[in-house]
Amino acid sequence: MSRYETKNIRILLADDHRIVREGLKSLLAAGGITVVGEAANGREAVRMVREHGPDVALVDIAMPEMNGIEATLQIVTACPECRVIILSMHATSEYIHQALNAGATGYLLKESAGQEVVLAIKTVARGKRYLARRISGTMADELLSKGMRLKKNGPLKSLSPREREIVQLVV
Amino acid sequence: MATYLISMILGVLIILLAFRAGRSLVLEKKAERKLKIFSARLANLEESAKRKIAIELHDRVGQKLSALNLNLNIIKNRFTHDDSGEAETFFADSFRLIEESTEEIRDIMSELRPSNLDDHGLAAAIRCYSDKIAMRTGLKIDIIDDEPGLRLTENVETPLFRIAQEALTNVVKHAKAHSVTVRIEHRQDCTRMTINDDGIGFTRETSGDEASGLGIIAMRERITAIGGRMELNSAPGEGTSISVEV
Ligand SMILES: Nc1ncnc2c1ncn2[C@@H]1O[C@H](COP(=O)(O)OP(=O)(O)OP(=O)(O)O)[C@@H](O)[C@H]1O
Ligand SMILES: [Mg+2]
Repeated sequence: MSRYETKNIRILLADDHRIVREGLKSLLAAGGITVVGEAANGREAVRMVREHGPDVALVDIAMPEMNGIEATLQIVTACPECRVIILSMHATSEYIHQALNAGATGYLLKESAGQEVVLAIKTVARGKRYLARRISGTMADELLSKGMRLKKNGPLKSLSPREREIVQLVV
Repeated sequence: MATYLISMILGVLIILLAFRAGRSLVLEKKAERKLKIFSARLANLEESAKRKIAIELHDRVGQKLSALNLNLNIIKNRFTHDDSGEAETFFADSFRLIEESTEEIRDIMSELRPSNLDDHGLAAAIRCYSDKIAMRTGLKIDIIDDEPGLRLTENVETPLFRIAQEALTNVVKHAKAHSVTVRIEHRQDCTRMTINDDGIGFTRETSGDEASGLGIIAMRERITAIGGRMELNSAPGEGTSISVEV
């Protein structure tokens, strides 16, 4: 986690729990990542993205006023260059699909966000998708069970390296 | 004359008796209706209590565990020197403990009131519940929804989910089945859900004392409370099929 790679990434934090925001902020600061704004609900998050134009928005899926999914939709519409990472306690595929369909490029589970958040931010900032380690396995299984073919230039192109690695392992 | 008098008295008596019987029948009907309303209200109360506990667990304990994980990572990053490598082990153990506790909270939450039911509907919630059963028991469970993504009103989704939950629990507890199919069919004017297993089946005789279980009674109550009906078909060796329509 070299400082050089991350020092220019600007982050917006959106979570209605202050303790979570505080923790993330210190953790990101230690990784050399700048937090340019903090929001406590979805509406605020959308407004602050417009205001600060961050590279990445970390968005809690469950927030009052406007939830993280709706906020993601509005963020990527208002600011297409901004990447969104969803923070969530839910590990089932419906939520992950919903987040990705709304336009998020990352999905982190809250209980392991600490270990993965810096890597996730770096990955999405490079334009790649990042799924929490614990769920990328299930997602790959599901993609396979839906009869996905591993063709050249096939749907595999849209997977992150981590997902691809797992799909290949499973196959 | 005397016979005439006697038959008249008898007639009046019969009319009186019939009148009383009729009245008590009306009273009984009334009491039964009240009981139904009461049990429906009880089910609603239980539902909202469960939902409340699930939300509190998520919002209070879940978020604190997340914050704990973040703090622990901060400490770990600042911690540089440990010759024995013992600290590493403690960190790894602690991270694992946080993940496991969160997983347990998830399990309790989904038993109380799966968030999937509110956020993604009946089929998603049943699927999530089935995945857990399948993992635990090896039972093969198929869920077929003929209009995936279609949402019903909450007062229909909740009882249907609870019925599926009880039916699947029964399959695990009693049926010795290999596979179950849950089918959700949306019609113009109604929704039907069928739970079909290939297990040992049962009859009134083999299922023993009526008082032994409340599951099937509760299923029927739930569906009639929202104006629907339930049909149960089972025979020894033929599996069991429960169908509800609303
Ligand atoms: N799918 C099934 N296959 C075989 N037998 C069943 C099935 N479902 C129910 N039964 C029989 O019907 C009986 C009544 O079921 P019911 O759900 O009402 O009660 P229970 O499961 O025994 O107890 P409870 O649901 O109150 O915990 C069961 O004891 C069992 O003998
Ligand atoms: Mg039962």
